[in-house]
Amino acid sequence: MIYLDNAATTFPKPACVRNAMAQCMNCYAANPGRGAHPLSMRASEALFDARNTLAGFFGADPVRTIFTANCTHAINYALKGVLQKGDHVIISSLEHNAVFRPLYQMKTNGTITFDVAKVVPNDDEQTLQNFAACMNDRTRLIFCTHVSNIFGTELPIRKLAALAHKNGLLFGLDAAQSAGVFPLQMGTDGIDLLCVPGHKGLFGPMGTGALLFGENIAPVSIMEGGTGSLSMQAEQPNEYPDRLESGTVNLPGIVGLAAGIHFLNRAGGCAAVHEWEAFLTNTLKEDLSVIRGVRQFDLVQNKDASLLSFVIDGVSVEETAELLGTCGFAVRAGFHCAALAHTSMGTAETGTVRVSPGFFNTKKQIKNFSFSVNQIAMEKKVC
Amino acid sequence: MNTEYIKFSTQTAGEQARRLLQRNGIACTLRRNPNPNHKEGCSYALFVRGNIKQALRLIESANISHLGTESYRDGR
Repeated sequence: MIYLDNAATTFPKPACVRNAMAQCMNCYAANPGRGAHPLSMRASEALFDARNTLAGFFGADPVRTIFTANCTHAINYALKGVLQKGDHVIISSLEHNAVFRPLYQMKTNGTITFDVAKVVPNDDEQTLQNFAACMNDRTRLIFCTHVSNIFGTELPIRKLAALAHKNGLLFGLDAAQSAGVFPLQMGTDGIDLLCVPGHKGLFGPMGTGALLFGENIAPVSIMEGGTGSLSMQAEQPNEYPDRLESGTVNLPGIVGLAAGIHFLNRAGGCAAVHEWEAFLTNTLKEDLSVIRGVRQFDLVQNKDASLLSFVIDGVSVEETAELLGTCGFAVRAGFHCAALAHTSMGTAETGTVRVSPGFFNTKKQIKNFSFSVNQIAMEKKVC
Repeated sequence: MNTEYIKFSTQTAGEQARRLLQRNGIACTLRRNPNPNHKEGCSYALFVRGNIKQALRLIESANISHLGTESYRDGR
């Protein structure tokens, strides 16, 4: 099976990730921060090392680097831990449900209001104007995806951060598709709240993610419980990271995540990964562009995208993905948990087939994939 | 023998302090607080071999949050 679904999760994981997790499980998977015995202390040190690694990768403070179960968990923390009753939020028209649904829920129960700013492909200035037009005197936060999980469209996040700060707002980023692929630094990029998955571009395992936040923010907990600290207090501890990390953390996963970041750094960092994935995606774009009946959704003629979406006329996206599966290719079809983006870009009726090459894919695999798409298009007589 | 140590509420703060001191040539060991009071409950203790006041100054200059110092009678 040729895996081309790296936007969902990267696969395979590097050997160093699997080895680090196995070593943790075999040798020191005691509960970090919950005991005085040597194994617990060793587990605690490993947790701290991983926290430092993750914080360092994004230019964040390790104390303000919170491990979560995934990026969605981090986004929920960012939104529900920061927003207060009456606040107004602006999001983009390309958001994943990880952003849209929590805000919709908060709006429905009367906590906040939000508006959706239309992203205009190829026109950053118009996009910025659309965000600015949504502001009102209750607006507290601009929160958006960095890269669309369907179309690969990159949002002008530095300009959006500057717009937010110029107006006294916070800027939060869903980096589900960009963490580990695009270089991100909290300070220089103007990010106040950064939500990342561990299992995508950072090469860690599933069940890992993080919320990183700046010194100007003090999120409250949305889940309370044991932290291994100040145990006799009824109140949740005030100090980070404990304030936001109740319950036993996923130590083997977190150790694997740190190993993934070390792998990424050794492989040449985000630039090397991005260059290769964009090369494979551009190769695929060229190949698919000459197949009759195939429509791509390359909204910005984006040469930097590391994923693309397409449909074959007359063949449902689910059937296309199933047929590609029988040819030995793993791709994702459907609506990709992003109703807002489909509605915005006119693909809500059909959905798309998404292809997301990864660091371990080869040009030959992409060529073979294009050949199979061509075969399906011909057999379905769409030519 | 009485040993003085610096208390931290979180393992993260204690570990930050331990590594800071060690980078500055001050030997120290992070353990669970051997004598937590009933108000605090579980916390961490950084045992410093050397000048604890100098260690505290370093920790405070790095804005690492701590719970003060305490003496511990080591019976071993």
